[in-house]
Amino acid sequence: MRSGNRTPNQRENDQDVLDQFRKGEVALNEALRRLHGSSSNSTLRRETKGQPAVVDTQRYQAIIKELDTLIGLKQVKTLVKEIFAFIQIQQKRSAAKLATEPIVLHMIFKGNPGTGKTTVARILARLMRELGVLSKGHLVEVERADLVGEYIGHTAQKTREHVKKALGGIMFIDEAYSLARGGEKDFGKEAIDCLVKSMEDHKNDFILILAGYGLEMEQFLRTNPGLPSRFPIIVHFEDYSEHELMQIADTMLRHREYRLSHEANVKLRHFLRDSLQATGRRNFSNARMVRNIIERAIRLHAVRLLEKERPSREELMRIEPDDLVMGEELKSEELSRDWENQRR
Amino acid sequence: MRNCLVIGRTNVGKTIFCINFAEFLGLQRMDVYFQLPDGTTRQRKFDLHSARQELSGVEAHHTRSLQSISLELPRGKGMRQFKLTDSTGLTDGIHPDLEMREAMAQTLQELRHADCILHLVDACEVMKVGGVKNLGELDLQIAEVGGRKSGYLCLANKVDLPDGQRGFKLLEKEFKGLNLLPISALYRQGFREVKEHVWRLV
Repeated sequence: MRSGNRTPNQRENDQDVLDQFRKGEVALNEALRRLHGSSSNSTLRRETKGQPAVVDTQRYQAIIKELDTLIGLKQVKTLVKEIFAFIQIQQKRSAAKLATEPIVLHMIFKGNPGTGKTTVARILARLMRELGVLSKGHLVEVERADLVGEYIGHTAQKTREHVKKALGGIMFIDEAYSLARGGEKDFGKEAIDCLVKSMEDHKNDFILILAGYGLEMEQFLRTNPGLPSRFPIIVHFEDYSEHELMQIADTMLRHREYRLSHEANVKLRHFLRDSLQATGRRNFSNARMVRNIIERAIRLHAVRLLEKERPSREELMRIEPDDLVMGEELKSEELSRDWENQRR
Repeated sequence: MRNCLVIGRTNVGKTIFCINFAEFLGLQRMDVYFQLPDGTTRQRKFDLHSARQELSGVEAHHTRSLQSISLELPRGKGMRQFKLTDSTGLTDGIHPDLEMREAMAQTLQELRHADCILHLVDACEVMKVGGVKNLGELDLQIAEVGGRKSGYLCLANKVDLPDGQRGFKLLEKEFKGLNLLPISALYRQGFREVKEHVWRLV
């Protein structure tokens, strides 16, 4: 019987066709043809199913485009191109009956706060799925607290559980150095050992990405001698330059349909330059800080315009220097504004 | 329990065939299970007269969900049960009404699971347009899908009408190699053959 020996994949496909038909996207004849595969190309389709997933170029292009809109990050972009080329050639090699060895793609992301490590990891997960490297392409984000247990032996159990969840996708450990920070008796080491083991066991099924700040990550890699060699790909996320940060601010604003007035532009640029040059740069968090400034500016802009009777379209879009509240000014400005409002 | 699906275009007489066929098999009262597109099932009891009045009609798309009747056929000493499922009529192209599309999707889904397909074609209509091909792709597709299953039977309905017999002849030429029977659902002609076919499957 036909219905009995269908693969789950086909069944899913059928469900898709029925859904499309329900929404009125496909005609009945087309739906029937696809459900029961009466035309000649259905046999063709079945042949390709046995091979590794073919890259859906359109979806792949969309993701690449998303990656390209991110500013800077040259190293990441070249890495993606390398992986893409490798997979294409692997498929051609397998078609020519040559040996194809899966490569290990575990990675380390090093960089200061707000340089886009998590964002890139999320995009990579989807990209790997489109490329057919990962079967599911989901991202499991874990931190120290998820891996480290309460008593001896508990840690390995917890870690293995998370690895199991991440199979077919990417496991992303943010602030990974915290696993090695607790000292001799800390369970973090147990988690690392367990991770090292499962990285080897499931090297074709999932990708492990460790992320953290540059210096701390180097210390972390030193804790286990086998660790650095297990991560063939190390990506440095450079700090953004003043120019790049301005570009980021610009795209964020354009995305939300706002824009900076000339004076505001100058003010932001000065502030960014100052904080980049300031020694220590303790609380400087690159793109995240820019985002925070802009989100605050949008709120203040809204408060300012609320009092106006009929703001013009231009005014609704333009952000003035007064709206930009940054760094040390932030607290005092807030207070004085509140006070003003109360007096009124 | 074997499942028998009655399928075809709108207004070819699927529902009246179901009711009359059930009566032919000796049913007095019908328990009809309505499987609605939202996934729920409803049961209603009909006697044959009210079933004929309520379930079938002359306008297109009177049946808006799958309607199953459980029937029995004698076999050996016991009785074998099977389910006769009446379905929403299909049309070519995209139907503008969402409700109808959902009901049709149900029909398509059922088509996959059914053990036996009774495909009704309006022989009179076939004669009018001069061949099944001219009616549209749909009937040919159903015939092709059905042809792969063992329990496929094409019923040329409305042979009691003047054009019916000639339409059946046309159909015979086009559906060569398929099981084809001339019937009249309204006047119960050819039901004995249908019963035999179903009996063999059940």
